[in-house]
Amino acid sequence: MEPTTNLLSAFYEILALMSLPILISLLAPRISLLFNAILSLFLFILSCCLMAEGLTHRVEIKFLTSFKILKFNYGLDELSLFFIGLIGFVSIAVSIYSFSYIKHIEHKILFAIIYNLFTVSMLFVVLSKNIFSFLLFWELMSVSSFFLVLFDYKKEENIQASILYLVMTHIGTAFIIISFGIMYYFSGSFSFYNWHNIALNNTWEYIVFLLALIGFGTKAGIFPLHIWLPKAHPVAPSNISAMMSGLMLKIAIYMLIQYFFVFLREYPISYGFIVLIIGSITALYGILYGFVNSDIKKLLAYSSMENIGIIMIAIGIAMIFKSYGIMLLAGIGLLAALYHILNHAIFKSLLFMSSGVILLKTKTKNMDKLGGLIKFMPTTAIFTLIGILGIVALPPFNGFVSEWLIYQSLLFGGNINNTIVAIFIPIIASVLALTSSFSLATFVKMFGVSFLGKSRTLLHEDLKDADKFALFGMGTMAFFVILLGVLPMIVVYFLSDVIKSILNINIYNNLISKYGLILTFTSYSYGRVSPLLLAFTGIFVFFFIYLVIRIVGNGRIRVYETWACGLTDMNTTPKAQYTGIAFSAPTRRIFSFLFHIKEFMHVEEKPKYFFPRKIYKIEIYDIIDVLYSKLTNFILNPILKLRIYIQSGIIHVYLLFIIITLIVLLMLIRV
Amino acid sequence: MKNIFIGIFQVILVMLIAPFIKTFIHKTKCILRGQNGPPIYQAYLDIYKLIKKEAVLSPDASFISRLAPYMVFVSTVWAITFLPIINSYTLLSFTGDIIALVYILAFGTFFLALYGMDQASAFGGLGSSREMVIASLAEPSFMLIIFTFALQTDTTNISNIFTMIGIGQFPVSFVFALMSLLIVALAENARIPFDNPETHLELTMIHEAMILESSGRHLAFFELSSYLKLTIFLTVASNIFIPFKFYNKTDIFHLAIGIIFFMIKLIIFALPIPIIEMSIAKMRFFRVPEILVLAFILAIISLIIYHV
Repeated sequence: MEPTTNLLSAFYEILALMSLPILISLLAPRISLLFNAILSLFLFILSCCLMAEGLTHRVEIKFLTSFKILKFNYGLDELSLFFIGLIGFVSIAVSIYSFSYIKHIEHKILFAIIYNLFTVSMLFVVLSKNIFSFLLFWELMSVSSFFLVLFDYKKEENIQASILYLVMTHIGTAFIIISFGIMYYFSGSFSFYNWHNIALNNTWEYIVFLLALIGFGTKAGIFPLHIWLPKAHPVAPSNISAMMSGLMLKIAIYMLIQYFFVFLREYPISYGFIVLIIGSITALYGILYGFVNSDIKKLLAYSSMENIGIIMIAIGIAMIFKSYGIMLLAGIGLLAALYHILNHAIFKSLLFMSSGVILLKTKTKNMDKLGGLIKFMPTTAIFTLIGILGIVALPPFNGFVSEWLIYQSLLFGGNINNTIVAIFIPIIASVLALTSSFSLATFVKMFGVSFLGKSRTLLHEDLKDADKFALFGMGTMAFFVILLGVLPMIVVYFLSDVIKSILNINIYNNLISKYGLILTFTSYSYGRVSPLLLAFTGIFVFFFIYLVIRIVGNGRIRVYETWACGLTDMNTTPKAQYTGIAFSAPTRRIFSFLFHIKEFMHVEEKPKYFFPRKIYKIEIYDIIDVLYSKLTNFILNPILKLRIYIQSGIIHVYLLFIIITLIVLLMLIRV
Repeated sequence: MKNIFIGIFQVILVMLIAPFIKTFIHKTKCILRGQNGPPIYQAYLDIYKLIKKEAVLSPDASFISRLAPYMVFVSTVWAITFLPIINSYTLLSFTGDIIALVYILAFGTFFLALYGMDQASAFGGLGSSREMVIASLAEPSFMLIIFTFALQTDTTNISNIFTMIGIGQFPVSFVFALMSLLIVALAENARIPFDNPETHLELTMIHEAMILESSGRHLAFFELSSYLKLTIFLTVASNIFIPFKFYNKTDIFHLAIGIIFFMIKLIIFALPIPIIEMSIAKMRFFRVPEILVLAFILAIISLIIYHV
C-alpha cells in the first residue's frame, strides 16, 4: 500500500503542476513548452509506475470538486491511467519538437497558452468521472483545438476547415449529451462509476449504443462522419496535427471502450458486427483517399482515418467475443486495439512532425513539388522511413505486432459457433489485408515522391535538416517504433492490467514468453511470432549476405547517368519522374466510382512554332463531403427561396407583418 | 541442433533450386514454341556473371539504392528461414507464422518499389506504381486463402498447416483455393497475364521497369530474389495441396526421398506457368483488377464451401 500511496500523491502533484505551463507561457512561451515536456515525462513515468504497481482500490480525486451546484468528479482507473501515460508520452516528444517549431509561428504567447491548455484538457477528459467534468473538459479540448486549427487565421481555407471542425464536433457532442441523458435517466446518477454494467432494456441499450457510436465516432473520424478530419489536420500547425491525430482521436476511442466494455453490460452480437463493419469501411475508405491525395498532410490525415478503422475492427471483434462471453478472446481483441492505439500515436505523431519539417523548410506540403529531399535532410528522411516502416506494419517494427494481434483475434472468430461470423470474419480480415497493402502503396508514394529522385522544383541550396530539438522529438518516436516492434512484451505487460480491470482476464499469464518473447496464447494455440528473433534473423541474414558478396563479388560502384532512352542530361527534366498524381492514377481509375474528381487542362501559353504549354490540375473531392453538401443544399435552397419572400428588404412588407401580428395578438387577447 | 542443420540445409536447397526452376519454366516455354532454348544451368551462369560485375548507380541515387537490393534479397532469404520445405524442422519455425511470411515478402516489395523511385527515372516510378497496385489487389485473396487454411487447421503456424492439411479433406474447397492461389502467384511474381518477365518493352513492363537501373551485383540480387519468391510460392502451394506424410522424420533416407519428392512437386506446380504463358497474351493493365477480383471470388467460394 505504501508505495502506491506515495506514487499517487506524486501523481496528483504533477497533475496540479500541469497547469503551470499555461501561466509560464504568458512570460516565456518557448520555456513553457520545455516545462510541459518535463512535466509530461514525469507524468509518463509515474503512470507507468502506477500501472506496474497496480491500483488496488478505486481512486477518486478530491480537489477542484467542491462547487455548490456543479459537482465535479475525477478518478483514476487502469484504462484512464494508460491514456494518461499515452498523453504524457506523446506530449514529451511533441512539446520538445514544438520548442523549435514555435520559432516560425507568430503570436507565440497565444500559441503556447492554447497548446498547453489543449494538453491539460485532454488529461482531464480522461480523468473525468462524471458528466459535468467530462463535458467541461471535452468542450475545452474541442474549443482549444479549434483555435489551434484556426491559428493561421488569415487563410480562407483554414477558416472553412476549422468552422467545419467546430460544427462537426458539436454535432457529435449533442449526440454524446443525449446518450448521457439516457444513461442518467436509467441510472439516476451523474457519476460514471454508477453506470458500470447498467441494466437497460434492449431498445434503450441499442439507442445508447448508436448515440455513443455517432457522438464519439464523429470525434474519432469514423466513416460517414469523418469529413472534418482530412480538412482540419492539413491546415493545423504540424505539431498540433501530431497531437490531434496521435491523441485527440484516441480520446474518443477511449470513451467508446468505456461505453462498450464498461458501461453496457450485455448486448447482442450485432453491436460488435456494426462496429466491425464500420471499422473496415473506415479503414478501406481512408486509405484509398490517402493514396490518391498528393498533399502530404492530407495523406497523413486520411491515413489516421484508416488507423482509426483498424482500431475499430479490433474493438468490434472484441465486442463480438464479449457478447458470446468468451472473455479471454475479447481481452486479446482489446489488447490488439490498445496496442494499435499506442502504435498509431507513436508513428503518426512522428510522421506529422516530419511533414512539419518539410513544410517549414520547403514552404510546400504538395509532394508533387518536392523530390530528392533525402539528400538535403538525411536524418529527417531516416526517421520518416522508420515511421513509415512502422505504419505499414512491416516486421520487425511496431505496427506489425498490433496488426498481427488483430489478425489473430479475427482468426479466433472460428471458435464462435455461428456460420455468419465464421464466413464474414475471414472476409473482414482480407479487407484488413487490402487496407494494409494499400497503406504500403500510400507510404511508398509519400516517401518515394517527396524524398527520393530529383527535386521537381528548384529548392534553395541551403535546405538542411531540422534543428536538434525537432530531431530529438522525432528521434524519440523513431526509437520507440523499433523498440515496441522488437519487445512487445513490455507493452503487453502494462496493457494486461488495463484489460484485467475491464474484463477480469489476465492476458499476460495466457501468453508464453520464452524463446525471446514469443507472442502466442496458451489456451488457444493459433499462431506464434517472436518479433525479437525475427529482427535478429533479419539482421543476421543481412550481414551474412553482405559478407558473402564482399568476398565473392567486387565492391565497386560506378556513377553514371540515369537511362532515359538515349536522351542526355541536357534533354531530361525532373518533370519526367512520376509524380504523386501519376503514381496513384491506376488506383484512381480502378476505384473511380469512389472518388469525385475534377480535372482541368488549360493552355498557358501558345508559342508560334512549338507545342503549347499546358497546365494540368486535378482536384479530388471526398464523395461523402459532396453528398453532405448536396444534402444541405437540398434543405437550404427551398428555405432560402422562402426567405426571399418573407425577408424581401422592403419596409412596407415588414410593416404589413407587424400589423398582421398586432391584429392576431389582439384577436387572441380578445378571445 | 536438428532445427539448425536441417534449417540451413533447406535454405541452401531452395537457393540452389530456385534458378533451376526459373530456367525450367523458360526452357519449357521455348520447347512449346519450337525453339531450342537455353541450357538448363543458364540462370546459374547469369547470376555468377552479374555478381562478378561492378554496379552502376545514377548520380541521383541515395543510400536507398545501395540498401534496397540487399533488403529485397534479405526479405526472401528471411522468409525461407522459417518456411518448412522438405521437413517440418526449420531454422526458426517458432519465430514466425504464415502472416509474418506474407509481411516479410511485403518488406521486400516495399524496398523494391522505393528502389524504383530512387534514381529519378521515369520508368522506375511507372513500375513502382503498377507493382504496388497489383500487389495491393492480390493481397486480400492471398490472405483469404491463408485464413481459410488457418481456420481449417486451427493454426497459423506454417509447419502445422503443412502437416495437418491435405487435398483429401475438402476436395472442392481445395480446388477453388488452388485456382485462386495460382492467379495470386502469377500476379505476385510478375508473370503473364499480369506482366511479361521476358520483355523490356517500355510501356508495358512492371517488375522490369523498377529494376531497369540496376546492374551488377544489385541486379543479381533482384533476379535471384525474384526466382526465390517464385519458388516460395510454389513451395507453399505444393506443400499445402500435396502434403508430406513422413514430414517429421529426419534420417538421411527420408530426407533424400523428401528432396526428390519436393523436386517432383515443384516441377508439377511449375508446369502450368509456361503453359499459361504460351496460351494467353499479356493483359491490358486495367484488365488486371478484373482477374484479381476473380481470384478473390474464388477464394470466397472456397471459404464458403468449407463451411457449408
